[in-house]
Amino acid sequence: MNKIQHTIDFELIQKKLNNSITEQEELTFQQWLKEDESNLEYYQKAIFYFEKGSAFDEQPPNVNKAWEAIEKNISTPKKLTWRKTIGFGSVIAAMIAYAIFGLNLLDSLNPKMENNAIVEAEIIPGQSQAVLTLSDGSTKKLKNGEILDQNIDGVDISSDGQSIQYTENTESTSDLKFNTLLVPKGGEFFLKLSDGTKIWLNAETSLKYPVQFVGNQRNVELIGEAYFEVAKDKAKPFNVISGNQTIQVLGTAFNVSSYDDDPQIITTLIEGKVKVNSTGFEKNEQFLLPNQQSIMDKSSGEIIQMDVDPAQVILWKSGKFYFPNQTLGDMMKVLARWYDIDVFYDNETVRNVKFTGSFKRYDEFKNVKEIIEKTNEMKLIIKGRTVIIK
Amino acid sequence: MNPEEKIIIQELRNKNRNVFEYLFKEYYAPLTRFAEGILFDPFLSEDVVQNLFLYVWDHSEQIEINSSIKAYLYQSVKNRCLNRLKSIHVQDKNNWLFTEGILNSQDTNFEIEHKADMNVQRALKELSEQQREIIQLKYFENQRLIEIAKVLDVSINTVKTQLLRAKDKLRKTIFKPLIILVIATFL
Repeated sequence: MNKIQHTIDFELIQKKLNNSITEQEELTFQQWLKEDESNLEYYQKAIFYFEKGSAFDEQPPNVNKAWEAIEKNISTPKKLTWRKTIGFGSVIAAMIAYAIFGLNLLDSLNPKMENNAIVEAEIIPGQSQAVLTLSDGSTKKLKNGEILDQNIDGVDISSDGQSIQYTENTESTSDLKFNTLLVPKGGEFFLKLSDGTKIWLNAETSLKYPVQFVGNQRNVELIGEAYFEVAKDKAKPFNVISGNQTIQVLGTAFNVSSYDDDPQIITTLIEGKVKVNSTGFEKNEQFLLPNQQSIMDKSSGEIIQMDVDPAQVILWKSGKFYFPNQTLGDMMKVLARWYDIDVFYDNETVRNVKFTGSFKRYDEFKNVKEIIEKTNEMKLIIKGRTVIIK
Repeated sequence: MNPEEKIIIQELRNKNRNVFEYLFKEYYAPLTRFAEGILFDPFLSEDVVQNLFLYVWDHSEQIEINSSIKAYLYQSVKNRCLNRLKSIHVQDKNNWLFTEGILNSQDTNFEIEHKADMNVQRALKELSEQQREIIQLKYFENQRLIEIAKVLDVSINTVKTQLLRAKDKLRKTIFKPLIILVIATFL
């Protein structure tokens, strides 16, 4: 049998509710009512509404909660607000970084706490230190306070232990020679290249760069995190290579985070314009404008672009840590690099606890531990350079 | 459209989150109540309004707003609600539901797109004093019918009858067919 659905005007329902419905109209109404369960449901809701009034009279719509639900679904991510003004700290003086080719040399850099009798080891914040490897393979350790002033590979290199500066002298060369600067865990360093490009290196970072720029490209290779202020040179595009990602730059300021133990490479642009290329399985490219960030998935080569507040991304450069709603796991990864500690978790679920907080980079770890313990239900046990989180 | 509105629309097209948030927080409650006056379901109402805002965000470059943002939003919510009613075979050719929605939204400066000169405030003035009071007490002061009866010192049935008459008058006033005045200019 054919089920014909009849449409009625609400006026009929209104009449029914007011008992002013005629017999003929009643028939039509009843027919509509029986046709579908949802029809009956609507009628019942109407009765309730006209009897009791609006459901929102007692409980108005929760606008903030609704906003939170919407926010998650709009394509640009939560804009992080930073209430204090950020002053970019004074430039860390150029430190001469010595590149180390062999990974085992990394260990020799970090002073190991041999004394297990110490119950609560003093975990001190990072300091300026790096290892520079010259083009001939020789290495030089750079530490805060130690002065170096030499002419190597055709350029003047000077360092005060916190930063390193390359200055082209009158001798130009056609040889492309590379140096590598390796900043260990618990280190940070500043580098100024011979073209005037400034680079701030974060802990556990290595950068390979030409001593003098020869040819029509300026290429550097990065593992770790660095903030670049690239000197303008339209004739020679500047490229930052990290694994299978290349960033093409034309005189700008940007931050790159490309750690081995992170599944993504994050590039944040502050000024100018860059093009991020992935040379992995899928050739992808993404242009970035200021306040935009690209996140490249290392395994797939896929690049996502987002709008961000870049000030937070480069806070490390000016002496601050800021963790906006990050998991404890991600936060501890960053702290472990800076404080040069190993972190273990008593149970894995603790890793996912969300944390929002900020710390001064040069604060002692025990202060950080206190803040973490106070704001979340967890305990941090420090044994030498190991931290166990319960 | 005033210049501020033009700027807001432009900012929406630029995907300005702050402006979008402002609009959301400004209009969410009245729009939800408006939808409730049509659907009689608070959850569905919130759903409809949230979906509209998501739509506005995603399609900000494409949507055309001719009169005002407010009118656009209300019209959109109305259309979405009426679409839902289609599936339960209810229509609102006589504007009862639309009127109910307007009243429930507790928004007196309601202007309707295409009929920008229709205004709830003005329509209310066409009511008798008692009717106007009942509307005021019911929709703007959330009073129960029984309480209204007490305040006005009448029976509850009188309140119900007068309320219906008031709504009837309102829907007729607000949705009066436009009288097009043809000004003959002999050129």
